[in-house]
Amino acid sequence: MNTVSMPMRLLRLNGQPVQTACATLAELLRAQGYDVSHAMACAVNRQFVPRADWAQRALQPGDEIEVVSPVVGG
Amino acid sequence: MQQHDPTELPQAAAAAQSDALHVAGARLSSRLFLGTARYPAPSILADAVQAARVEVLTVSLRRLAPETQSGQAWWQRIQALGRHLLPNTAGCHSASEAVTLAQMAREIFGTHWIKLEVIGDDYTLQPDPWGTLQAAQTLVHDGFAVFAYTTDDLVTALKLRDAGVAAIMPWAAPIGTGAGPRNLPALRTLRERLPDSVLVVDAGLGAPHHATQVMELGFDAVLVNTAVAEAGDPVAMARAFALAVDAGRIAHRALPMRQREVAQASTPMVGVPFWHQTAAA
Repeated sequence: MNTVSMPMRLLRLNGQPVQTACATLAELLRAQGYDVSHAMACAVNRQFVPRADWAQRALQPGDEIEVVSPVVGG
Repeated sequence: MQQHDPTELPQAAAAAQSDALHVAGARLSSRLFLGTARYPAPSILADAVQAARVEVLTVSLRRLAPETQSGQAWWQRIQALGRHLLPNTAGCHSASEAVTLAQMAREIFGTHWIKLEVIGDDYTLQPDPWGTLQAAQTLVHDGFAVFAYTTDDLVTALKLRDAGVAAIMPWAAPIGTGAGPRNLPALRTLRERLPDSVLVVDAGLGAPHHATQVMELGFDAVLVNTAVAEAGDPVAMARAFALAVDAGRIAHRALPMRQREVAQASTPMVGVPFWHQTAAA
């Protein structure tokens, strides 16, 4: 069992501060309780991150993550 | 809600179906685009779409909280309607924000169509022409079919055309006002100066006759949301708008008469009874 503690990172998720040890965007989404099978898209630091890249997208302290889904619109 | 049989449409409206609108690779029989916000219930939106035989629906993206699941049901209902989806970038205040949101929309909605909105003033929700143009150039280069929301300013529209947008969407009046066309001469100028561009009036239409007015000018389509969604009977109002759009389109193609400054009798003057020549003074 790996007992090495992971470094904690302070991020912003949809504008709210989040303290996390997650290393990637995919890990963060799962840890935050997102059902990633749903219609949703992500951006990190205002740059679009395609779904196919979520597992590889490493997170850094201070990253600003946006998670959006479809809503009504005019 | 009552479902309307398309065969119930008047002959004139049915004839409009042969006058398809080609935009961004699609062939559209309906020239009424409908927004999906502010309806009393999702079922009423669905009924309105059916009643008006709308083929293009606008949608948007907003932040998703993990505990929120309700949006997924709405999204499945929209998908089930089987219409063209036109995602917007509402709420963006810079070109970079709009470009990122457009890329997110392309992945979620599976369409390269984007209704580009870059707002320059929060009070009037007036679009920022510089930000809109900058984003349009980037998005067109990235393969998007851009439907650019703008004012009725001619030069902005010309530059958007030159950027290669799929459609230019001038406002009739500020979003949600229902005021109707505030500057018909400017809209007429846009049509005259951009004869080959797809022009869709977006924002500010409050009643069906507003739609007829701009369609008579030769606009290719209109987009409405609040005027339908906030009507007492949104389903009936959607149908009224569809008929008004068709009426305006048919009238435009029928070449309306030129207005005159003075009266001109339509009934022949020859043989008017009781007429007699007055004696010369």
